Amino acid sequence: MSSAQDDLVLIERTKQGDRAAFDDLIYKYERRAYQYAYRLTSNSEEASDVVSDAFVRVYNALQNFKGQSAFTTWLFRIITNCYLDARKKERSRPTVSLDNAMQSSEGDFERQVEDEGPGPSEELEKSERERLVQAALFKIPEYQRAMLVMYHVENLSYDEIAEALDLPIGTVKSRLNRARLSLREQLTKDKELFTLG
Amino acid sequence: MKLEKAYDYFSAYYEGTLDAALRDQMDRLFAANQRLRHDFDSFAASLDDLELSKAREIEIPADLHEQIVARLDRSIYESSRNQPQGVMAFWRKYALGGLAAVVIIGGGFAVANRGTADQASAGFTAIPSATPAGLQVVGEEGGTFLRFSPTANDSVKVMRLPDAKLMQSYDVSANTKLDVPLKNAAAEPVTLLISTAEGKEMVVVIPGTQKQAAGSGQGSLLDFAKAMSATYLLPVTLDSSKRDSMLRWDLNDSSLTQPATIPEGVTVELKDKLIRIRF
Repeated sequence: MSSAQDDLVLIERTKQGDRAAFDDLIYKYERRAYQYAYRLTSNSEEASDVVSDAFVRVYNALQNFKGQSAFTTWLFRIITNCYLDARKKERSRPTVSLDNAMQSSEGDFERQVEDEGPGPSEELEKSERERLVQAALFKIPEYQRAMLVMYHVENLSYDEIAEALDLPIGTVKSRLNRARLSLREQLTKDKELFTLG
Repeated sequence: MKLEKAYDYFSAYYEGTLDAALRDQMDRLFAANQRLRHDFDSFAASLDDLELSKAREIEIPADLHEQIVARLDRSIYESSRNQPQGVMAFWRKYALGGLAAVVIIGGGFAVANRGTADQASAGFTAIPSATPAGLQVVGEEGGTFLRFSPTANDSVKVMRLPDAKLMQSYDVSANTKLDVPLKNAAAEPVTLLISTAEGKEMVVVIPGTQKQAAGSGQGSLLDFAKAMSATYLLPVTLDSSKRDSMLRWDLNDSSLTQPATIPEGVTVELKDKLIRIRF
């Protein structure tokens, strides 16, 4: 039996009141769900919250799941929504962000990126590039970040992203192109700041 | 093609999915415009860097499954509370005639400010400092106690299983402590689900007054915990999210932690007058 068929069996059993079947579904996908959520939030606690909320939403909406799309793409959609909702809630709270500007007695200044110096090896350089790209990823709009992570890190196809976000495939392609351009622009800005600093 | 339009084709150019005519136009634009070429190169480099994230290991929290299940249980419980008819249906489904154990919770309930004078002389029991905010069930000479000391305002609910009847609830202010005895005056053991609003949760079985002869049995993990409690007349905590898993067991009188047949994957520990089952 394929993994997708296996999911449908577990879903049917859950719909009939078999809670252990839903536990099995959680066991099967919790790692992947957490990895995706962590890549969106970069925070362990927030990622656990997003994943927990997502599984509660999945459980509550399972009666409406007709199996027209794969369970995994549906799960990605719900995790993305939980993440966007959490960020929205977070934005409505008055907070001081350390990521943008910090106050000093001499006025505002940009937060300095810690300079570890030029890496003596390729490994260091690779890790520095990855760190910069992660930092840039957190400065572009959340929706764009989700699309980039889905495609480039979680290996979802255009079709799967279209299903997960309930968008036509042409829209997915054009929005993903815009997300990539935003990332490039942000990385360029960060690198310039880094070089000048 | 206008220069601005060229940016719309960056992804397709990068992926090699542009048709030949458009690709030629792009190549001509790149040759004529160094800035565009530079922008595309940095675009491609940023995507290559993004791919590096794939290899990065992300550590999964050890208790992730428990966190998810606790949140789900709480959501199910809260929606059942909001639907009174559903609760009654649930109760009718699971109520077992003749097995209605009575739990007495209260009596020793105390909430004290942290850092106040001698707590022992005031009738309070000290909470181990290693887990100040933890939800604990402790077995002591004087009986079994539920303790909780949150760092933020929280509440604790004690529900009987399997009928989900709410036996007691407590609001606990930040930096105060809850310390209540858990007593069961009925003959049979009773199973309790203790949960906090913040999502901490534990299952504990409180023995009744009647000792059950050691022997074999089968049933869910909850049934196994109940059998252990009734056989050894000790409280049992259950550390598992698979409470409905079906098991077989064979208990003997000589060794509590080494039953004649222990269900596969189950560990049993006796510590401080309390049995802890993990699965």
